[in-house]
Amino acid sequence: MSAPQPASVLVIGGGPAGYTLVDQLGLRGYRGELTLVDPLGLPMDRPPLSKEFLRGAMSEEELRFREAEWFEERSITVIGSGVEEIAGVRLAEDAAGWEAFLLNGQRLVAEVVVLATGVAPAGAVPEGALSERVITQLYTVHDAARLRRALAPGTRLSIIGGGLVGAEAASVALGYGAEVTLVNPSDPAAVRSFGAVAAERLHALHAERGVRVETGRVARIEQPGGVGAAGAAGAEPSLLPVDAVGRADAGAGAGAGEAAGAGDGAVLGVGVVAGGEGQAVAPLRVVLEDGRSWGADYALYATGAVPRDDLARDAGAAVAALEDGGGVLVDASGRASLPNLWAVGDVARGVDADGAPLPLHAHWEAAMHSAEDAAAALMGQFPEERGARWFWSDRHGEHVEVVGHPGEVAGGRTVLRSDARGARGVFSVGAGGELLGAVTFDDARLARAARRLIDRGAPVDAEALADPEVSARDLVRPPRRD
Amino acid sequence: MAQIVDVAGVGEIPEGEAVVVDGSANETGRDIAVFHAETGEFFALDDECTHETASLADGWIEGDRVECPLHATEFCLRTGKVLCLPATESARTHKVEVVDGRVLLHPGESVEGADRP
Ligand SMILES: Cc1cc2nc3c(=O)[nH]c(=O)nc-3n(C[C@H](O)[C@H](O)[C@H](O)COP(=O)(O)OP(=O)(O)OC[C@H]3O[C@@H](n4cnc5c(N)ncnc54)[C@H](O)[C@@H]3O)c2cc1C
Ligand code: FES
Repeated sequence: MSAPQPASVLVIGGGPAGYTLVDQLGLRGYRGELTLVDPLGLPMDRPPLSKEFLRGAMSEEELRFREAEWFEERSITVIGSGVEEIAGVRLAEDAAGWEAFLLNGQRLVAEVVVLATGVAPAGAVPEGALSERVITQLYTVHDAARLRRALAPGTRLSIIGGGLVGAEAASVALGYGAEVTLVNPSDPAAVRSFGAVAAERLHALHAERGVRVETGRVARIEQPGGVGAAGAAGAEPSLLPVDAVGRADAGAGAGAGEAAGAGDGAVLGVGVVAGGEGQAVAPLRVVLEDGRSWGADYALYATGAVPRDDLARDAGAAVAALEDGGGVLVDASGRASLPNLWAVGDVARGVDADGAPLPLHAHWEAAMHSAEDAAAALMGQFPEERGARWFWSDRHGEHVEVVGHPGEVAGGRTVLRSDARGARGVFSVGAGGELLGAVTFDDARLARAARRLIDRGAPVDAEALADPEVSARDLVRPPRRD
Repeated sequence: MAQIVDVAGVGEIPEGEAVVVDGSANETGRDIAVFHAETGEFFALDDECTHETASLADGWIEGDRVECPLHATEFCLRTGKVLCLPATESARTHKVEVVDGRVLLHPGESVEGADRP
């Protein structure tokens, strides 16, 4: 208990990781100065932005972990809700601590700086993105509120990127009666997150539920009306037909020789309801690299995210190469390579025994756990043992959970569990018969059982896994035989 | 004193399982989950998670904790204390006793040491 505490801690970023860090420091008896900076204001949760909040089932207040008084009561200074972004950090001259510079010119000093800056959208947002109708990320309340306002029966929404966030947004948009097109470079999407078998099933759900699914890369988004269109778009006048949606879609289908499902009329039959221009001109045109294109009222970019590691990079701390996905390199407790600099949550990246960056795993629980572990270490306490990792995603009414490392492995096998309602779980069993990962559908106990089986590391009974008659609890705790 | 609800016989709720006493069948008006912990003890909490809409009775019961089936917040079955995010509010407890092999629930009567009395 008497381990020395830092005199002052500055937490940069108020997502789940930043919030958990300040909360945990307090719970662990921290008595020093504690400041959290986030231009977005009070610490806020993110997953509901593509789920409950987008659906209109959750308010902005409910996204906040705590109200202002909670922080005041604990003497935690929260700076934010405007331009108070941290523009840079550097070790103070005497190396006794850090200086941080806010965009508004303010300077903060602290013994310890914890980076909890999360992620930024991956890839350059292409031309046309200046339009009000193109939502370039789904990351803030503002983004989600814009998308929510756009969603109405008949709204033609094109979602670029079929990963976790894009897929969730697509299913919520359908609920509003929107005409949704989802474009992803690969079919299925998100194999890395789910493994091929589960990814296939999840991607196929989109079309089953009425999303038009396209495979390809978006080259640009054009605005036939020209409003706010980026300059370069003018270089391709032939691709800017001020055209009816119908013709464009027919062209899209024919040009690509797509299998049934593409250009199958989901969009063809829709009259334009947005904009009120009084004619069937789509305000946007989504153009793929292969030349196919179609009209849309709105477009959402959900093309993934990369760690926002520039503060550490600029300060000279070790970070993973950008080609490798980036991220502030940290030890198991979150210590970066410079003294008194820490990183937690999505911006941080652990390393293996050889110091090579571990695969990125930007999910909610991991962010929270990393902050808990860092808080423990900052207080001279021991972190908790962590078992198999977990994340969830909600799409088309299904609660999907992923534990451990799903996917197919050499020498291993994939075990499926289905019941009368359909697939319940896809299990990845390693060469030694041990469970490596699982994806479950609407079966919380199955996910939790799988997590415990993975942690045990012992060979599993594949027959029992596949048998829906064997309850999740019995998978973990075999029934007593008498 | 609230009206006591005779929930079930001890043997009718397997260890690691829970049953829900409907809001219409108890004076609090809220659904109450009655848990049979692996320790053999019985506990009761408001069934709805304090985070969003999920039934804690469907959660994973281990030791004296229950993990929410939706986003995995854990609650202490003894005190209702919330143990991790995303929920930040503890669950309301209700006293349970076992008398003559029957599980008796005291709706609205929080247990001693409850985190949210
Ligand atoms: C729409 C959406 C849905 C998701 N759904 C799920 C899900 O279903 N399941 C799941 O497991 N995970 C989900 N995730 C991922 C999960 O939300 C993240 O893993 C988690 O938010 C990471 O927390 P963090 O605190 O590390 O970073 P973030 O939540 O990204 O927060 C970082 C914060 O830092 C601030 N910041 C950045 N730079 C600066 C700076 N220079 N100065 C000051 N502040 C700065 C930002 O404003 C931001 O508030 C979802 C993410 C999104 C965006
Ligand atoms: S509903 Fe229980 S943790 Fe979210």
